[in-house]
Amino acid sequence: MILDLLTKKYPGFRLWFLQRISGLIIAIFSITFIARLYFIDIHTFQGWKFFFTPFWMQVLLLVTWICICFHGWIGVRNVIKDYIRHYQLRIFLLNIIAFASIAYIFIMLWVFY
Amino acid sequence: MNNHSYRDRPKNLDLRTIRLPINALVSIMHRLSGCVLFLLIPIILFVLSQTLKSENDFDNLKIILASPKLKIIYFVLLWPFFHHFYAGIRHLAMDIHIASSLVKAIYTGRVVLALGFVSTLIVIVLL
Repeated sequence: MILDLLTKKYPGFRLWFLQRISGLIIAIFSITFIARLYFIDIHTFQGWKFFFTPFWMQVLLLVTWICICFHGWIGVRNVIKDYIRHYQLRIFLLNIIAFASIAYIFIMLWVFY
Repeated sequence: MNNHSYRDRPKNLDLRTIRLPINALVSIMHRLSGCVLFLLIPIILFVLSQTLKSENDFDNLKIILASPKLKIIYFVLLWPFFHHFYAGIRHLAMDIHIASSLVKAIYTGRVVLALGFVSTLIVIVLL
């Protein structure tokens, strides 16, 4: 029954669920990030670099970044669908944010890894 | 026959005269802050790429970002983050039916508003 919700029969649920899960991951990352600021001085280049050096941090950052892009895409998509009534403008904006979200993931991969 | 439907009833959608209940306020601020944070993504990307490139770029950007004039901008940017964070946790809790009754929701709504503001102030002071 629960797994049934994730199939094509309930198309809205998957995005709803993805938004919750990604939000949770972003929250965990935020807490980790702030907690780490307490232990590592990031006011120097070496410290800032060291902040992102550990392997688990790089993995967590990558996962979180993908989550941020999906979370942002779903959220802004919902906002646009709620408030933009002009059809062409709505389609235009939906395409823009979908494209931008995917682009952000690839820019991050290109810049960081 | 008197055939009035709900469409004929007077309606008031003038935001200046509506007093939003606390739950609506927290919710609409969650949306607004989400939009602001979405617009911030490219700036975060830029800052990350610049500061991790080389020591020179790091120092250059640090001097620009550390100027006291920017503190008010940080306040405007940090508040959405903290509000979105706390309100998001509140929404997640409500999704699994924790504190979803009206009385508790009003209470947690106030807590979320206060926590977002206080957290931002603390970070601004620490910066």
